[in-house]
Amino acid sequence: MPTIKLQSSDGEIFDTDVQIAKCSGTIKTMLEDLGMDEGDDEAVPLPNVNSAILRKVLQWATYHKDDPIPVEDDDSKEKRTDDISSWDADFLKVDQGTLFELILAANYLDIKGLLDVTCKTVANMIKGKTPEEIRKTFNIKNDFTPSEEEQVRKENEWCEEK
Amino acid sequence: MRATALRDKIISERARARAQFPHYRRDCLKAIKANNTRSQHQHQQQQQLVVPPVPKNVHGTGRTSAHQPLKRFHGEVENISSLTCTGTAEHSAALSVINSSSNRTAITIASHLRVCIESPESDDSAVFYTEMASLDSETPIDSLPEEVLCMIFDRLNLRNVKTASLTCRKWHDIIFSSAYVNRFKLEIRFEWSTIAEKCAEWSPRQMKKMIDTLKHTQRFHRNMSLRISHTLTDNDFQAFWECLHPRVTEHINSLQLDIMSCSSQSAILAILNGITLMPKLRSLSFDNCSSPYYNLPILRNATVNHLKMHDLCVFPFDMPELQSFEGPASALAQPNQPLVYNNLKHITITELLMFYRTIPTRWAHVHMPEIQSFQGPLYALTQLDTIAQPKVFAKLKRVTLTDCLMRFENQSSLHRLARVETLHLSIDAINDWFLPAVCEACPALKHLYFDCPWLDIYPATLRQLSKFVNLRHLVISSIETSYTLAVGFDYGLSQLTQLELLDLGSYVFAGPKLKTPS
Repeated sequence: MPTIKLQSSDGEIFDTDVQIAKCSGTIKTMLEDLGMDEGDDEAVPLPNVNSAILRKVLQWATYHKDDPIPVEDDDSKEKRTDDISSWDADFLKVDQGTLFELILAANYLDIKGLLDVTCKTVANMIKGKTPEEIRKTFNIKNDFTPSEEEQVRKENEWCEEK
Repeated sequence: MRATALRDKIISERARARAQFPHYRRDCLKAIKANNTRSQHQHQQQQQLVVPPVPKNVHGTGRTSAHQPLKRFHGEVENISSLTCTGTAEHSAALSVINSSSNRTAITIASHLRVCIESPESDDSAVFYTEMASLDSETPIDSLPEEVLCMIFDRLNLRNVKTASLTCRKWHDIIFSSAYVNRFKLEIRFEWSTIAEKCAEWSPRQMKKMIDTLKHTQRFHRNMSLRISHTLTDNDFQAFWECLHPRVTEHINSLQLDIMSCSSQSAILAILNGITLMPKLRSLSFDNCSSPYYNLPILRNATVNHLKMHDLCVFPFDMPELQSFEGPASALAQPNQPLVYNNLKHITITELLMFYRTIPTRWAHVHMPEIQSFQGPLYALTQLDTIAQPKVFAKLKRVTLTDCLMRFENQSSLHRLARVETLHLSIDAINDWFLPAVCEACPALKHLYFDCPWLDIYPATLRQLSKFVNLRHLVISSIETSYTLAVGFDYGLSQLTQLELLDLGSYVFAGPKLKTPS
């Protein structure tokens, strides 16, 4: 199995199957555009991803390497958040810091499946909660004045889906 | 570091960034472009950049560890001569720290501050962005950039996203003051209700509250839906409209109007005049309205691409950028309006009766040289054929026929469809002559769709489909017949050798085997 080397922001080198690495659109493009050959000794630098997160990302990509390519997002399709597989749900039982680092890494590396499932996980943390419960969940400070909050509430009454 | 050395450094960093991140330049430009566009949209709104994943090491350290957001920002920042920050007023303190810092001072940056560093001789790609978290941040979600938060909000339904907007200002502003607002529309309905309901619904106190709220809105919706009822007094309407126009309406891309029950001419006039002054309006739709008033001014707008008019409401209009029109045919040939539609590509004729009232001589002056698609009854097409400029059909590629019944034995109009490639038949019965006539008239036909939920069709008529030997797509959404078919009935579809898509829907006849091309 051909492999390439990926280098995390803190300098750790990960020997990775090319097929697994290529689930990242960013790495795929890099390899194609820069003509990096398989088995090339030079490591692909990933300065936005540290080793702890890269390890998680590669763990996810390895498990999902045979997944079909996700179809392009269709706007008309209702976005579900209750279809997270149990493996993914277990995989994402991490603290918020790690979860958000994974989102940033998935976004930067352009891994659609991981980005989708991590965003869904955060959406599920918001769903069905009151504003105060959301603030508690994410430790967000309420910086509205009471009158501003009232204004938002009132304006929300006139807001509909397009 | 001197300016030249700094510039060299930035140029080399940029080259390195480009080599490492092929999309970087493009993404960066996209972000700048998006930001520019947005800043035009939002005058005094806070600038919030959508930052693409950018190599953060361009300017020094990135994140310190997986769980610790960046606390201190070291690096070359203190030496850069030009530094611009976008953020709220409370960030100005942080900005001054940066400005006054020299040598290797660690810089503390307030939360969410986005720093934009420009090279002294900036070209379009010489702008780098970096994003920093606050000193003592215990709010990990703040590390997510706006574009990622939007992806999360995308996965919430309307109710939950409204609740999210009440969480904090940052989330509120992303949801309602960035391009994300495109997801929503501002919907204001003064319902046409009984007097009793009216009193309950629109007491003066309520009206005052509504106007107060509108006055203070910081949301600039792109889409608006407005229903005015006759229960609204002229004074109330005026107060309401003053809040809305032009402060809110100047951002509107799409406007749906329902003024069916509005009996105040001054209100209608105010709205029509307002439309003339909406600089970003692209789509205008009169969903439901009546126009009991005559001598209305010509509805002018230089930006509208799509216009939908209700059958009962026809205003004369002048919209040079109109690309698609939906409504009664007479609206296109009214007195007192220009009859040249140079940009019009799609027309949908919704109503037939109005056609009779149109003076045919006016239709003879209608120019629509770019029409590519037509939707409406065959009769309207026939009328166009007899009275309108032949050029109407010169570029026609897609036709949708919506007659209930193809009973007009007028085959001559079909020869106009020689270039038509796609034909949708939203009809529930067809006469025997129709398919052979279409086959003969439309040699370029590649896609044939039967859209009607129920189509009763003679087996012999169906067999005529075998003549469409150039068809690529044949889709019959449903097909039902009261005629008994012999087992093994051959539709001749095997002769359609070019077929790429064959869909006979869910009501395919029981019994016979269809021969599909291999």
